[in-house]
Amino acid sequence: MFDQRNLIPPFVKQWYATMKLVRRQRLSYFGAVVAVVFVVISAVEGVFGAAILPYNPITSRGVPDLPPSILQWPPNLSHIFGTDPLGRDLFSQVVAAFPLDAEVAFTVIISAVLIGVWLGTMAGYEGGKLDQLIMRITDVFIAFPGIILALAIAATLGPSLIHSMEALIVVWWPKYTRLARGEALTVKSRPYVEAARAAGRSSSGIMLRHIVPNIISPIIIYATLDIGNVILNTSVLAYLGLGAQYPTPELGRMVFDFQSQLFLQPWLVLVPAMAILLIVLGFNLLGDGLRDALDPRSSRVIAAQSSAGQEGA
Amino acid sequence: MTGTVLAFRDVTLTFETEEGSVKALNGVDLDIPTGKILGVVGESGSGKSVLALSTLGLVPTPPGRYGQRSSIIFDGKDLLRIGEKELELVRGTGISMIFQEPMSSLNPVFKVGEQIAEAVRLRILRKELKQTRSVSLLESVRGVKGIDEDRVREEVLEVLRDVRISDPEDALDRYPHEFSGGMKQRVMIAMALAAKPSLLIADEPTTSLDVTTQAQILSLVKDLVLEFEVSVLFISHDLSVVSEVADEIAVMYAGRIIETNDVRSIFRDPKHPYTKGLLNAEPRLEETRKSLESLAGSVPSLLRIPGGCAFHPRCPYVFPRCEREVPALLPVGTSGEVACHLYHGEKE
Amino acid sequence: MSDGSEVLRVKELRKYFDLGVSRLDRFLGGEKEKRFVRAVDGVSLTISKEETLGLVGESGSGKSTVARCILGLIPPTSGRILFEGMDVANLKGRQRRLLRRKMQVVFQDPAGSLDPSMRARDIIAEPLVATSGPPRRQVDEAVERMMELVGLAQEYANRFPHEFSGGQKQRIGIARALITSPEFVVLDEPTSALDASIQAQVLNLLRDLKRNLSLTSLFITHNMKVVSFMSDRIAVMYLGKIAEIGTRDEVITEPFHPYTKMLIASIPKTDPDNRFTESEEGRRIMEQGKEAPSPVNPPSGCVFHPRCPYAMAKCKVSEPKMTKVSPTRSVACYLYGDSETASRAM
Repeated sequence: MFDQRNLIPPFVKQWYATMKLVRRQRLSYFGAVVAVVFVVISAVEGVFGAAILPYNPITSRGVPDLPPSILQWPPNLSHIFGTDPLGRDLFSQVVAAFPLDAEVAFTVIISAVLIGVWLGTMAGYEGGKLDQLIMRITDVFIAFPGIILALAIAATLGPSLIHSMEALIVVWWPKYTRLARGEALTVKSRPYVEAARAAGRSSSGIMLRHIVPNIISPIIIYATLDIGNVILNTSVLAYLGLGAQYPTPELGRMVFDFQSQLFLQPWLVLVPAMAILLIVLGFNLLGDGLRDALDPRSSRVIAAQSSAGQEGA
Repeated sequence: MTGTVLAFRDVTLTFETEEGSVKALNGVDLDIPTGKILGVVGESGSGKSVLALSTLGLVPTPPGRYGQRSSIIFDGKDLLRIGEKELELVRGTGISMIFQEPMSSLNPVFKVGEQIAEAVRLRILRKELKQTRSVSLLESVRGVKGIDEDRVREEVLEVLRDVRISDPEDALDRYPHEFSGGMKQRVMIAMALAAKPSLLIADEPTTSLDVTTQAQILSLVKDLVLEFEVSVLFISHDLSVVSEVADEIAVMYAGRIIETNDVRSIFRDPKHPYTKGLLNAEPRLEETRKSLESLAGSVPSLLRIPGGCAFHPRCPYVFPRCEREVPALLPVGTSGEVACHLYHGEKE
Repeated sequence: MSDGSEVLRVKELRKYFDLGVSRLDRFLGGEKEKRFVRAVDGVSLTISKEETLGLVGESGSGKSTVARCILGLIPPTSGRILFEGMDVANLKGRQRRLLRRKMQVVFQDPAGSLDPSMRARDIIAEPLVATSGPPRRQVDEAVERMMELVGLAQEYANRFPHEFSGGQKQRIGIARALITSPEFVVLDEPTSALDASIQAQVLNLLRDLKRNLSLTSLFITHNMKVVSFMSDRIAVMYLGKIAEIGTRDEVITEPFHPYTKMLIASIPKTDPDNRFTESEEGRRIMEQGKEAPSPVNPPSGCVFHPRCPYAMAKCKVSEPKMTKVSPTRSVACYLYGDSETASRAM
């Protein structure tokens, strides 16, 4: 009855099963593909640098103002998206911008998760005054409209990619604190936590060994959903001049740089904008698919329940 | 009174899940005799609850799928083949059902009297006014044309008295959460009986109740069967509970009926090894020196039902034929049937 | 059997849960008094070495709350709990956690009481490693021994809870409770969630362990048949109080308290010729029609009087105290106690 595969921890198996369900739906599959492509390209670029790009995005000087190949006759396949007024290949610029956004997004999310899980678990498990303190501080931060707070912080710190990342971390951690606290409250009342206390575990032992591993799953799923949002906000900050500075390629800033050319050479604005759209959409679709896959009301769950019946044997 | 109020014929129910086919019901043949209480006993995974849900079309299909030859005959119709509209007519006035958790079966935002009144109106509409439709939402608020509301109220009070609720007038106006577990169960029984069905299906109705409350409900059920002349299908995992109320008993295992008999014969002379095992597994009140004889192993997962007789891996009397051939439910002795190779055919 | 020394003594334990007063009621000038759930309302008992005391009661009787107070999982409102002579309430922090090694528990819900993210070996080892860190090898050996003791194959040690059946999960729980060789084990409805045939297996196991390891334990259940099978002595609880205590044989074959009689009469007997629905005494008791009141608003005087077929005027007014009617037997009922009527209805 038990096969060897069952040496895998439950949350890994949960992940795998969830992914299979996500694959079933076309849209979320598409989203997953986009997200994966984005991450892979960023990772490869991160390792190998600009060498993998067809052209150096900053220095190469080709033919200026070349439209994308599909708009040309005969199509000029050496510049798929065309070039900017300085002759730099747009495709290379766009792809070069990926790792930056990826880095910011993952750093912000991971930091927010770490801070959130730490504070949220303590608030949820300990309760009382500590809980009140943490939650009130969290409430204050949540009360600010995210982008404005980020703006304010980034502007104060000075325009740069790192500063916009720090600003976003400040905006992002409260959400995860609330989320972690809610999950911790649920887990806290489960019998195995009581069993751990009866076994003699200290509070910190229980939080570390029992609460955190059991709340991490929904948080990771939420975080995946959230990546798109971070990227969007990064682009907005960049557009406003608070992200990576010229000439480092950054999608949001590129939109700003070229916006004056919107009617003359629309591809200069549209390509980076579409790139942002696609990436954010991809992560959002993936997130939706994940959420649906975990929806307890789907019919497959009813079937599973009928066959399981009362717990016995 | 002889005769069969409902008959299951070769009922097979399969669910397609990601992990494979789950055979919840595997060829069930069962007759519910008119005017008697038939107890169905089984542990988890035996299929007893799904069997009950099948009668009223409460099993979602997809993902469930009934076998080609499966049929459930009630009042001359095959409940698995008739459409949803006809099935609605059966629910309530033909077959009523009560469940384990009274809390989830009673609507918390309606008064108890209202909920029973709905059942009464439905019955009058269908059986007396001969109209084959449901009561509309507006009608449940304003009353149905042709039905006297005073009469409805009288009947509600009467059925509340029948289930021995001490102050029916007061109970009418109360909401479900104001009642204790046992009282809620009585209200559910009242609702089920108000429609005067021919068959009442009770799915573990006392499992969530205290033992003293359970005793009261069980004796109530016995009395009501006589008073209302209704047949009862009583489902439970607890053999001793069933022994208190049932006239006949059917034992289920892994989606099949493996033994049936009248209640005294089952307890005095159980045939199937599983039935014997179940009987011995219960601690007796007085005799406690010996260890309990327990069955080895556990109930199989419905994804991987053992071949041949599903019980064979746990059976102390197993022989080679048991692994190959599924035993048919055949008569044995003077009364009762059993599905076991020990009693039919060569043992080899 | 035992050397008679006391392992556990509970004196006048009370646990009230505060429901508070609803803001609305206070605002409308209604209830001003606080409402309490009197979960445990004056419970005293002792357990001697190597003895199993069965604590039996229906829902609302307070038996689980008693267990949690004894284990120190919730603080009592009043009363004392003495474990091996030491007052448990005086222990704090680390000392209290060290006490855990001596006093262990098996929970009711096999699935819920095992952390789904932990492997079986880690779950079983937890009481051993939670308070101190014995060397890895010692821990592994202890886990191995425990698994063998409860009948779990060694190869399952690395599996996760969801891969076990209910009966096996409960065995893990039992292994976990016994790994520190505790002097006292609380079993809180350990078989209630299991199928009948599996319950038999686990009960047999528990009884064997009890004998072979000479365990001292408190066995809590709502099932009279199970408590009769497992216990040396039995205490019957009703609405937060103990109705009677005696040896297992005494309480089962000759119940004194009317509630105990009602409990025993309500048990389905698995004997179709002997149904309570058809017996005189049974029907009389069942005709009562009333049900257990809630612990928020318990009846005055003797809490059982509204349902008692023998209720007298006195019962409505004042609460009967636990009266010793024999060296091993105590009952809280005016039919037997308070000097005047000690021999009535015996």
